Amino acid sequence: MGETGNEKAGAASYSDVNDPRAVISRSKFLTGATVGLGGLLGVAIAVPSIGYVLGPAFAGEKWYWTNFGPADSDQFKEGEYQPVVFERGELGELDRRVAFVRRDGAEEFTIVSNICMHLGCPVQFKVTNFACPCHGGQYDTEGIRTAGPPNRPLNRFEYKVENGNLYVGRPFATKEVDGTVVMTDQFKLPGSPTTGLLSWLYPTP
Amino acid sequence: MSTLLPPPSEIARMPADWVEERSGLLSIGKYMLFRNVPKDISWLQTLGSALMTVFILQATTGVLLAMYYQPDPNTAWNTIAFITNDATLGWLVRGMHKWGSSIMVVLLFLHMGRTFLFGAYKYPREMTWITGAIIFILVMAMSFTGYLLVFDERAYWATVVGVNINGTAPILGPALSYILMVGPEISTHTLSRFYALHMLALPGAIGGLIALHLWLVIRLGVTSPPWSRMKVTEGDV
Repeated sequence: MGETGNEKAGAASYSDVNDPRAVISRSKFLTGATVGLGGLLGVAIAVPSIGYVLGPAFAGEKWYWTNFGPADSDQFKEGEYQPVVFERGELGELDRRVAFVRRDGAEEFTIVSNICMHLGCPVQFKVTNFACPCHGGQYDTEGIRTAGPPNRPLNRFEYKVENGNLYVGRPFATKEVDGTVVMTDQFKLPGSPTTGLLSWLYPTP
Repeated sequence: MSTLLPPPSEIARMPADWVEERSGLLSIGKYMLFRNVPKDISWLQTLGSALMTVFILQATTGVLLAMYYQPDPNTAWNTIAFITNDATLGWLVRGMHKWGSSIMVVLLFLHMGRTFLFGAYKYPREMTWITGAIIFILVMAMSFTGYLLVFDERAYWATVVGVNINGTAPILGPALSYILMVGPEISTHTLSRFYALHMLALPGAIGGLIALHLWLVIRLGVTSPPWSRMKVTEGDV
């Protein structure tokens, strides 16, 4: 290196670790390069991996319209809930859901989901109320909480009547407004409040 | 001729010497196992080794279970039933894994309690405590993910409740529940995600942390109980 005139010019030698004037030693450079490139490679692998893990979780569920049969069927009675067990998808038993169907008019229905809004156990309908076996949540006939830990009314399914048949779609969160149940346009997990200040703390992903 | 052969005792030692000369593994093993410990330690200091033994048992029986288990919603329970009822000694393997998981949690609490009550988490052993605490959290995650894999009614509903408890955390709770379930509801992805975590990610992390935890125990030594009357000698902490 000496012959190149660098020393004469006072410029630091890049290869001499013991030279106090060295801007950066060879070993320091190699360490930095290894850590830097390795880190870059790590990020290049980690970022897509995180996307791979998280992406499908927020892609949204596929919802189905399930045919519940003729809308004028005798099984749907006014003022009385009829439990309907149905499978809404291709996963068999895993896609089994329960809806409580009550007739309100010729083509008007109230269709309540059986998922308790405390922590998601299945509720049962007992003459005058819905009751959850897990932690004692109680709801009235409209699905409004009357006792126990749930913090909002039971979910309701959207529905439509087409060609005389009743079709049941996806469940939506509801909220209680002046003693009546109002369906929101969102699906929310059990445990997430739908009214008041707290509802802002539980954003639907 | 016979005089050229080394004595039999030396011949018997040859394989070990061969390994030691090339790897130093035997002296590392000796360094790890034949350490000086305080005179007044008791059975209470064996809880950690007991835990590691249970972990090894869980890992082994877990590998055996994975040989027949299928993480598919329609067949998972059937393969569990096959292991329990039809596979040779399958009931024993599954039973050991099931009870071992409970025993591991119990031992963990006892081990942690002993460390806490003896003040053994204090300087310079804070890192040992921290790695142990992370292992504790991961073992809880193991219990949670393993619970679903049986895929009977109890497994399903317990997981529903568990995921929704997680969802009651403000701000990030619902998003974390979506990540756990891979969507708004339990699906076929939930089962394979829990399976992947339960048999690959979590045990790998626990194994690595146990190695670090053990190294710290070896490096820092074992503490005397708080009521110890042994004299602290120079260099001891």
